[in-house]
Amino acid sequence: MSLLRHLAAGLRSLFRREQVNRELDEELGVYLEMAAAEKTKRGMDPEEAHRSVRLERGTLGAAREVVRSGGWESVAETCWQDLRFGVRMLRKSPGLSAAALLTLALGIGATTAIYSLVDQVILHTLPVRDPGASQHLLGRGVVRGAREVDRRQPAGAVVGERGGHVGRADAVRGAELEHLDGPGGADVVIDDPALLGGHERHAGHGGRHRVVAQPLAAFCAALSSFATSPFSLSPKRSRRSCSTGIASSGLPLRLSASPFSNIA
Amino acid sequence: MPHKPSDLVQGTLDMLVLKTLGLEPMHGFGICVRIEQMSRGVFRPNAGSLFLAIQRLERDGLIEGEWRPTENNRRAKYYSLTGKGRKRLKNETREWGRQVAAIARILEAR
Repeated sequence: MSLLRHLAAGLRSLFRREQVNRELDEELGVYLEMAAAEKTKRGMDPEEAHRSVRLERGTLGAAREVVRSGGWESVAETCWQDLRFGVRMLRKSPGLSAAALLTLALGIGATTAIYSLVDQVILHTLPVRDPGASQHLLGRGVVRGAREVDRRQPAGAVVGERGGHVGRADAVRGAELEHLDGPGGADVVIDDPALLGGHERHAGHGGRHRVVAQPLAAFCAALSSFATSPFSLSPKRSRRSCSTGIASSGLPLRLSASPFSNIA
Repeated sequence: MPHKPSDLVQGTLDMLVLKTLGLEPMHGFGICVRIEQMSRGVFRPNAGSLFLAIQRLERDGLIEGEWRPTENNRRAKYYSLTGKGRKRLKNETREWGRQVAAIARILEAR
């Protein structure tokens, strides 16, 4: 309640300044006049009485300033005046202002861009069970079946995909991934390398898929992906808070956290 | 020659204004005169600090003001204590008594 009253009183003196000032001046004027009248009643010369009141009680102007500086609105008013002064100064030298504005804009823009990169690449963990072991997803291919083994990779990592398209994964040894989002946004699943390496069937492997493949030059891959799609990187955040070190992480930049879909 | 009026103890003006208004509704000058009289001239608040205190108390809802004509055909804002102000005055008086007693005990220690 008290806060509301303070707010209302402050707003009133901000927006109905004339009236508030008039009232305050009237109140102070009456006060000083009464003080002077008191003195003349005791036989003092009126002129002398006014002078003496000013000395003893302060002048009207000084009192007004004291009272007006008491409310929160005086701070707001000062800020507003400073702001107006600032704008006036800026308009006085437009060249300098433009240069300052441009510098600020460039600086903020560059900082934001760099931070966005660092944020996505370094600070956020991937929505997989072991982010430190995951790797970048490379290339794309089409497979007419459920899956295909990538024979160019020594470890034979394979990526299958829901819709029949298949990418190739350079996945890390031992990584356990639940789900990968493949190139072009399709769902990709990395299957068990033991099975895939032998071109065997993988049916019945349930939700856990183990990937074994050659680690990539992770950071290069990440940067190249970033360059092609700067703002679509891993849109969903991991529930984990630990961050992946750049040296150890493979940065599968298109990981998605949607539930694993069985390929079979 | 009488002593020069002394400065009020920090933060006590509010309490004194409340006390004065507890006796009867009054305008600013009336409050001032009352404080001077009751303190026998020891305290004489100046206009700025008095009206600052009044503004503060009014915004806190402890007193409320009303414009009324004075005896000499002018109008002045008369202030009166609200219920909240009455309660605050009671609390502050009690707290003040406690502090004064404590300070006195300290000063009298030997």
